[in-house]
Amino acid sequence: MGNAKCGDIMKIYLKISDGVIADVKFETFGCGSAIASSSMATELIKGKPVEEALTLTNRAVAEALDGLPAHKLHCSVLAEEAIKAALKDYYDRQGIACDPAQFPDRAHCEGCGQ
Amino acid sequence: MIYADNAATTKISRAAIDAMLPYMDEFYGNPSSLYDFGQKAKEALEDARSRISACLGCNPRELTFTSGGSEADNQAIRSSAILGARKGKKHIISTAFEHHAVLHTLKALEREGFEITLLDVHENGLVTAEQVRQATRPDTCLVTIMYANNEIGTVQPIWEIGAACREARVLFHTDAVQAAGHLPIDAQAQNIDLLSLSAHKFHGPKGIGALYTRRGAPLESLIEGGAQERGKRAGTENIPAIMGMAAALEESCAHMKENAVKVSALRDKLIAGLSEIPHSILNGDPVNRLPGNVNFCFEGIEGESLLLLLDDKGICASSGSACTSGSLDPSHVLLAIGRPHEVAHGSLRLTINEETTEAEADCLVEAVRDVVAYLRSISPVWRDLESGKAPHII
Repeated sequence: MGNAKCGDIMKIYLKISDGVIADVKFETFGCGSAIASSSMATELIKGKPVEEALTLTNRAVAEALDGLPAHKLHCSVLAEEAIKAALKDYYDRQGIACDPAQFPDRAHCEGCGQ
Repeated sequence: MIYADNAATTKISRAAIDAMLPYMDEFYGNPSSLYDFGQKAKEALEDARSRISACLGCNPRELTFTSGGSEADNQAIRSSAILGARKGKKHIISTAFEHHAVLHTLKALEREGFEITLLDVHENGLVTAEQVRQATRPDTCLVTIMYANNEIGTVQPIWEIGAACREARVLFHTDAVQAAGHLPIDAQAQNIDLLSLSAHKFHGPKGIGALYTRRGAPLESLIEGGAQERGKRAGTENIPAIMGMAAALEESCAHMKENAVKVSALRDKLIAGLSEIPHSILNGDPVNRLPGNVNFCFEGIEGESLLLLLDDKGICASSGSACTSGSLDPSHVLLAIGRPHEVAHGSLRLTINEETTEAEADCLVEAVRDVVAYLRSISPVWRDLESGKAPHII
């Protein structure tokens, strides 16, 4: 998720068995807040059932980090979107129907309008 | 802690502090006051002015004290613009990688009807006198080109540019904030009409600077009020800071040659060490460069995270990444020398000085090596570059 032009790119790798997130890893190109947000997001969903992981919000990520500076909040948004994109990918591969409203528009990055 | 950010600010020297203190707790008079106590301050003020002028190769009457480099830049440019406009000349020449104090002043003038030409600084970060010659027009009222760039440290051919401006009969201002105290400056000999400097870049206090204006070149005031500085800059003079600035500049100039030799040798060692990191590139000409400036781009990683991890190791450095600039664009300086966005994001500036030791330099190289390797290990951009999914740029 993301765009090198606006500075942050995150990739999330999920290992799912029996509907539970057995393991989750991140790769991030970005500032300290971006790396921290993606790292924290993976910690928040590890070991959780997939449906619960879907409820992750950027607010929860920011709170778990004890807050982010205002101009870095978009990093937590990107982390939430990256997690959800990975989950959507899982659903698609498994051929499971899902509610599109639960997933953010992948093409749109609010931070830079790309 | 290893402090490698001297371009941002320098530690004030003992000599500067000692020069300042008496003017805070003993000789605190206002130089504009008639009585003896005030005149003592006035004497000190004028003595400091002479000493600073001597270091710059100019006459004391040509020096105006300001609150720093930004104010000096603003005044030099606005004053020249006003004078030009009176003669119907509203074209100004500068470069694409000036400090924002210059660029933003020019942007404001543009909104007021001036035309600005920003010269290309090429990949090596150097402009030529020939470029200046080509760009000057009958309606050019000012050329403003920085002596040495604050991010990539490249040093411009000031004498030649000044000569070209003399030929074209155009005022030449140079922002010498990074150069003063580190490189020899002779305002007269180098054909300079206006020059800005700032004390906290050469071990002086923050909040004080100076503007040199060649006698014969009129100067308009920016700050109106009392008659201080011959009516060119109102406000009670910051005597302690001015004394500190004089002491600091004298000391820096006295040791300039030997410091330059020592520091540039260490700088070159840093450059050699960092060049061994794969897919890295030095920004700016390696030779025509400030003695203490090192600036690299490392592919596949981002600058702010690099700085934070270096901070964890007790290292103070700077970067030109977007995240550190507070905008979406990385440093305009790196873009100006042709670095693509993705590469410019992964930049690091280290600025050492005469107090940096060999051991510290070795530590810097090792730390950068380690942090770059770690960030690359978690970077999806690096993974794509290494797997061949995207081509390496550097």
